[in-house]
Amino acid sequence: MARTAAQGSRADAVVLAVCVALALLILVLPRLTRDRLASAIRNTVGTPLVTLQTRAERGRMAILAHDSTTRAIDSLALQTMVTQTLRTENSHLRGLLGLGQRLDVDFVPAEVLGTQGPGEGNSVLLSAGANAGVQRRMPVVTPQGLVGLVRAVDPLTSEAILLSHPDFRVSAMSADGRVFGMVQPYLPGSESFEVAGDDPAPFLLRLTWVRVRDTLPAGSTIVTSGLGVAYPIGIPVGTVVGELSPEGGGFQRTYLLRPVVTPADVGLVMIVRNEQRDEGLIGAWQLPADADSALRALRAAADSVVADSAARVQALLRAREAERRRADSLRADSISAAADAAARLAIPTLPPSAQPAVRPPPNAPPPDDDDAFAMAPAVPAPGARRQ
Amino acid sequence: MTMGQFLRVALLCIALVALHYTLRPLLGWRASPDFLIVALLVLAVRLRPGAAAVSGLLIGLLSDALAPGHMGSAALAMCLIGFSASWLKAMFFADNIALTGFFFFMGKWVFNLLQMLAEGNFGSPGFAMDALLWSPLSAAVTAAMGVFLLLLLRPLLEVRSA
Repeated sequence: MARTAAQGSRADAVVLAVCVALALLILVLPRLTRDRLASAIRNTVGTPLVTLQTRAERGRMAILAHDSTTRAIDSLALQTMVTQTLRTENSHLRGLLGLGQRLDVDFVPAEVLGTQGPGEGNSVLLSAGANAGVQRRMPVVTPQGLVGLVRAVDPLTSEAILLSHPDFRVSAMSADGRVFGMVQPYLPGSESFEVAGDDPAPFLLRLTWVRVRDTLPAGSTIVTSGLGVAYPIGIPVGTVVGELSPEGGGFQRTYLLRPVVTPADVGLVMIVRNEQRDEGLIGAWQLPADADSALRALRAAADSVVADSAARVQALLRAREAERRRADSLRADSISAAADAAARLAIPTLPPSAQPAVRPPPNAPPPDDDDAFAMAPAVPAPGARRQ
Repeated sequence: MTMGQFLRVALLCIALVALHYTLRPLLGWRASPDFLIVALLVLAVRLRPGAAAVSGLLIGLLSDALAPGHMGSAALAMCLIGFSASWLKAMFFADNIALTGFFFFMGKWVFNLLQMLAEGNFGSPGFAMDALLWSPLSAAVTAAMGVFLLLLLRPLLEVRSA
């Protein structure tokens, strides 16, 4: 037993010696040989371990890079949000620029700074004031259409009421100029009306004081009529959604309008100055074809009025000319008669400078220089025959 | 050691080797645990000193192949550590947590010292720092990990009492 243990210890010592000798041999091997040996181990039994180590290193790098990656993603997300905001603002600005180029009237661009206070969502504060030329009762528009009206002006800011304000009123008409009425906010409660769409409670307008004989199909565009001092003609207000129950004892119609501008979405606006063209702002917005027909009708009406006035003025001038010619002929006849009488009475003919002045008839127009110069040859010379 | 015990120990050693090349790079600590030493010591106490020396040589060669440096230094150190651990198993590897931890601690520290000596780093500027600071720290972490794993796998491992 003891011999076996001793032989085992001796064998273990031999094995240890061999192992140490191998390890020392590997240590003293040339570098190229050691590298080949290491490569052989890595490519055989060490391959799974190399894979594990590589993935672990990647995992560690991913963990280390997580914070910086998260920060980068957050910054990119923030930049994306800013980019989206800039893109929306750019779109609005492009729209405003496009509208500004189409508008011949002067306007003041402004930003909506916010509502006046809690519960005052129907009025907004604008970033342009009296210093920028803003005055009370100037219309506020966007590229889509009418937004509201300037109610109060400060040197740097101004306050405007929106379409949703209970006091908001604007005279409007259909785009073809056929139907007129008054637009005011639709306050739910008095009437119920089902509106198709995803929005369960959309903001709507009312077009009131429409004559009973005038009807508007759904989808008709309503624009400002230009009646009044605040709003020029041609600013889109809304589109007809449907008709409400008749008001005023059945002598007028009331239509429900969907505004072209949602007051809550207003961000950048333009304040139109009061110097408006004769044709208002028709053509500044992209209206349906009936708006062009309305514009043509208005222009034709204006042309007819001008043509009629011109014809009247021309007829008046012709009448005055004929009257003047008749007076001239009467004057010439009286002078000729006087000359004949003088010749018959043998009265020596006076030189022209001594001849008495001939007064024109009371209703004759005052002769001008040309008339006097033209009348001179009518006095016959001494001995000349009457023609 | 029966065949079942041998298989369980072999699987544990393979798992420890795999853990060495996954958890250790993942942690990236300067004083990182050495699961190869834990595997060698767990294996050595169940083998004869000669077989433990051979196991140390093989594990050391694997470690040298996957860690660029002096090929053979870890093999030499583990060969000696394995033989010593198998020879001292009756003394230290009792069913005592503190002694087991100390066994792991000393095994790792001595391994580091032997490896540094084999690589010829004795007397280098960083030798003292590595030998007296980072090696003990790494040995402590290795001991903690080894004890934790042994406690975790106690039902699986049956330590052979001398």
